[in-house]
Amino acid sequence: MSVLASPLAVLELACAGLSAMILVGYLALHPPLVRATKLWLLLGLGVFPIGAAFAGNVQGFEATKKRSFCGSCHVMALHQRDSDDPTSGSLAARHARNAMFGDVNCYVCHADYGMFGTVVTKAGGMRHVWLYLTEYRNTSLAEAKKTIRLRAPEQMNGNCMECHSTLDTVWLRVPDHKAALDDVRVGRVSCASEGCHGFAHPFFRPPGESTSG
Amino acid sequence: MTKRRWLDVACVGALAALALMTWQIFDPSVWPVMVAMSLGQVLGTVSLAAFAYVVVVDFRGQLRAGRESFGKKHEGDSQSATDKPPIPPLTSGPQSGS
Repeated sequence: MSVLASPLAVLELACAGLSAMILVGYLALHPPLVRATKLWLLLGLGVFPIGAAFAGNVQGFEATKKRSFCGSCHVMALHQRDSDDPTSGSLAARHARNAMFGDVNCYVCHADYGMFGTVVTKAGGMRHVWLYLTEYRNTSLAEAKKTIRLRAPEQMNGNCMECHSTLDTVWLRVPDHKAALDDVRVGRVSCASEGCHGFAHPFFRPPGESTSG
Repeated sequence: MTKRRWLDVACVGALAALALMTWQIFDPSVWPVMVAMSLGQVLGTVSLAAFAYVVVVDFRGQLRAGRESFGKKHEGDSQSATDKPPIPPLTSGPQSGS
């Protein structure tokens, strides 16, 4: 990955580099604490690090949307591998091949929307970290398949409907859509179910649930 | 701890914070990103606070020194004022030209 591809990464590196030069210079030379020294230190300890932190935060938040970030916890390795696979026919992989989702397909499908959607999603992410630390850190993939579940599966249709509004005439022309319209809208029938579009992650179904679709 | 030592600690802390914050660019996985956004920023903020503390202490020291030197000067002025001979009272001497 080229770090120079992102302007934020470049900005952060530039700020950090300038700050480091000032700080190392101060530590090496130890000039007297006159006004000029204080101004240099204000740049090295305040202005440039704050710039680096700002750019780094935005860069970090963007990084948390990427599939590679989600897949960096071992229990999500199969999900990442499936979405990376150009031959996979799973719902998740098919969306990953769509430019609207691309390498942020986990985030786009699982994020909360609305005014505080990003904040709620990040808070949910912190919950994932907590659960990973306390429960799943040493869990094998086989075990994870049995235990990892969506917290609110009935809300997932809402995320599908962010793009597939259920109002489009072409969409409504499909008899199954028309028949299940109300159930789909309230989440009683999942779009990503066996009888409809198939599970989003069919390889990750616990024993007893069908993996077809 | 001396002011210089405070500044040394602040500089080393800030360098560590910068290292933690830039680590996430090269390895944007869970731990580097979380460490950058938590520990890195806390360390950087503490370093800046240490610098601000030194500046405030230094400024107060300068103020105190200035006040003391002003006080001494003022004391000296008033002392020299008391050493001066008293101004002689106006006397009604012979008016010249009368």
